[in-house]
Amino acid sequence: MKTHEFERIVNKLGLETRNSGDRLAWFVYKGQVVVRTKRSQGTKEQPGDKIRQQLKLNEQQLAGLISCTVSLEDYVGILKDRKIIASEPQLSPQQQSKQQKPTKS
Amino acid sequence: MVSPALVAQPPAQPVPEVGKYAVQILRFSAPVHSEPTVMNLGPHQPAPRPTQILLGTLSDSGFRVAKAIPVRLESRDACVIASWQDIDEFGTGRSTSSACEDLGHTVSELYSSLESDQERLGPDLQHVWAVLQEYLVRRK
Repeated sequence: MKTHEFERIVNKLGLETRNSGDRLAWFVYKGQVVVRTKRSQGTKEQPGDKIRQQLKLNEQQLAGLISCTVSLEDYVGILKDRKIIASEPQLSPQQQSKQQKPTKS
Repeated sequence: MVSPALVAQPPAQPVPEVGKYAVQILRFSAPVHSEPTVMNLGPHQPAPRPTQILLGTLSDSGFRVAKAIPVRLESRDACVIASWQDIDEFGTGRSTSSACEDLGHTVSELYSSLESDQERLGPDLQHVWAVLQEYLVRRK
């Protein structure tokens, strides 16, 4: 993986980054720190398979993330499928209608 | 037992002549061997670099390694990758030692980050945090 491909993933997923010798990156979803990855500052070629494992993706999904066929929403869906992100609790129809109708005060 | 590859050359025969001394060289033929020659290169070395090691120290003196970290080593082009598979963490470098040093640096950074964020970690990073606490102890 090239450095610019890593940076494309950082921008697409809105990863929080910190430079500390290496460039550390964190994916935060709804306030929860979900996955992390990093790239070395000194080398142009990054170990793509290691970064892929840290992002919890298969080869096809990582390629899609770099080439724009996998979006941020798709990525969240992938992490939910893999139980890396806990799915939101299913609301009952009554709860849904309560959420949709603002209460009058 | 004499090795078949070694052939004793017959000793030179002095040829007695009056007033002269000469040496007659006798021709001899060595047996031809079809077997390949096996060279003894000393102690056996299976590979130039180990594929797995146990890491017992980190370059960050703020941590003590309570349990040796199993590290897998891979060579790619001019780069060595040291990875800790339990937590999907890795370090890179031009040599085994520099890759392990990078891994150790990343692991200590990860420990500090997860420690400060431990209240809001997802399930996977909670597992990583548990493993790190098992292997590393912060020095007081």
